[in-house]
Amino acid sequence: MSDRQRVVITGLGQVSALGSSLDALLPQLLAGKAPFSVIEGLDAPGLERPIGAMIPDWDSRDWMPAGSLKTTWLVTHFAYAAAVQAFESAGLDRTDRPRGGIFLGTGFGGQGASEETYRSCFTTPGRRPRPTAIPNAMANASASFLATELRLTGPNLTLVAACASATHAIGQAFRLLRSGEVDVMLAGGCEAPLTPITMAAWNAMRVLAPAGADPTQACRPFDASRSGLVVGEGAGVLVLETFEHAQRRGAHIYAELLGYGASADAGHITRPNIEGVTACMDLALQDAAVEPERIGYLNAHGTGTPINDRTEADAIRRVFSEHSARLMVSSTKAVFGHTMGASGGLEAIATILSLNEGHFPPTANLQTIDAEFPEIAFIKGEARSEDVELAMSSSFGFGGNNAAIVVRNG
Amino acid sequence: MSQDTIQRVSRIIADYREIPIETVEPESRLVEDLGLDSLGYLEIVFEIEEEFQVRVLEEDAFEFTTIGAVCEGVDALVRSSEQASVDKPAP
Repeated sequence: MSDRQRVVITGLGQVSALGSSLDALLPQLLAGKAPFSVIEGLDAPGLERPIGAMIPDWDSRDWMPAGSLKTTWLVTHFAYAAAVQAFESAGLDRTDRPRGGIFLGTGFGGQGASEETYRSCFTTPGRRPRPTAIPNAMANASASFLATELRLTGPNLTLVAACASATHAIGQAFRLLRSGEVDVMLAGGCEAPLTPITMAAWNAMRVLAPAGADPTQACRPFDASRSGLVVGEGAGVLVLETFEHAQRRGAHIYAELLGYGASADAGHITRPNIEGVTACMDLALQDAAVEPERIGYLNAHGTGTPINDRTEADAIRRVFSEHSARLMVSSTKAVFGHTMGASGGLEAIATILSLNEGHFPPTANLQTIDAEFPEIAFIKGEARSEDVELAMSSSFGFGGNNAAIVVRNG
Repeated sequence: MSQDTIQRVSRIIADYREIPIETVEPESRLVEDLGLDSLGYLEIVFEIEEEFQVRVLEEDAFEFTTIGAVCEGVDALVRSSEQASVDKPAP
């Protein structure tokens, strides 16, 4: 144990429905107002009035290096925008070339690029796939592009674990840093799922919240009237670094990463089970050597689907027992949307900024906590202000992939 | 090489590289001046095939080093394609 490296978080970067900067993020999270709207012009078969959490005023040209737009797809643009911000906030530049690499999570990678290729080829006689069809669509395209641009030549992996992808990426990067094999890792996730077939396919699973009269009210995690999730796009990327390395270069430390837990339901492809969900949180606490009572805030997975939230609430009670009545819990998916493979990155950033400022976001649209849930101190209505040392962020994905991390205020 | 071909090929390169079309000249070298890599080269060949409705053979695909050489190659392919269509016996 003693020769393990301490791991700290020294950089944060994000693009999401809450904008493309770090500064504006926490105030919006604390305000608890969902920015969801109907996706105009999205022709998703079988889905009337699709709603989503879109990045406002997004233009890839604002971020991407000249000449790179044609050889990359949108998900890589999101990842790069977040990574550049994270790199800059860590005080790194691409001439530093630290000993390190990139672990990036994504659920679908460039699936939307494939959709475009299939549509083009199947609907236009004689039309062929472009030479960039594969480089744009392959799952590891974003991590590869980031390595090339930021000159990180260490381990470069893409972790695909559905909606837990980014939390696993952060956790696995944490372990690599802790081993001392690397000094710096970029870790997080990216997703661009607001494409016609991906959205239609989610709709086929009947997990999407209906648009209703007001799309901003559609996603209501932990509420008795919750009716599903709202899909969002974006990326959340963090710079993880050994404490020693960060200290040596005088980097600002946002938080320390203390523990990571990973588990598989080994059950059903889509239906979560309480054992798997509980296990990842237990393991993260054990890894951090922290008693459950010491956690002050939990950024929950909280999708807003009836079954996720029910399973999660029971799991929270099982992990934290009596402490859950005092544990502040919220889901920021009610404002980010469910950004799938990016969600763990964005939510880790939300958790860290909340810890830093001592202000914790409410779950937007949570009015009446489901009476079936055990007693948990869900934050609803107004944000809560408290000095908190330790927090957890959890993510559960289709496939029964579960991950949780424990962080300490920096 | 025809002015029309130069114009259309230059437009393809300029769009791909996100540069002003004025910076693309017949003497411009694809790699050294225009920064095309192997994947970019394949994309340009693809676009040219679509634009001019020709097929560049595998063995010719990496032969062209300047915009001028590309345009001459395209003109030759277009001519042979037109000739083939003239030579085709009437049904």
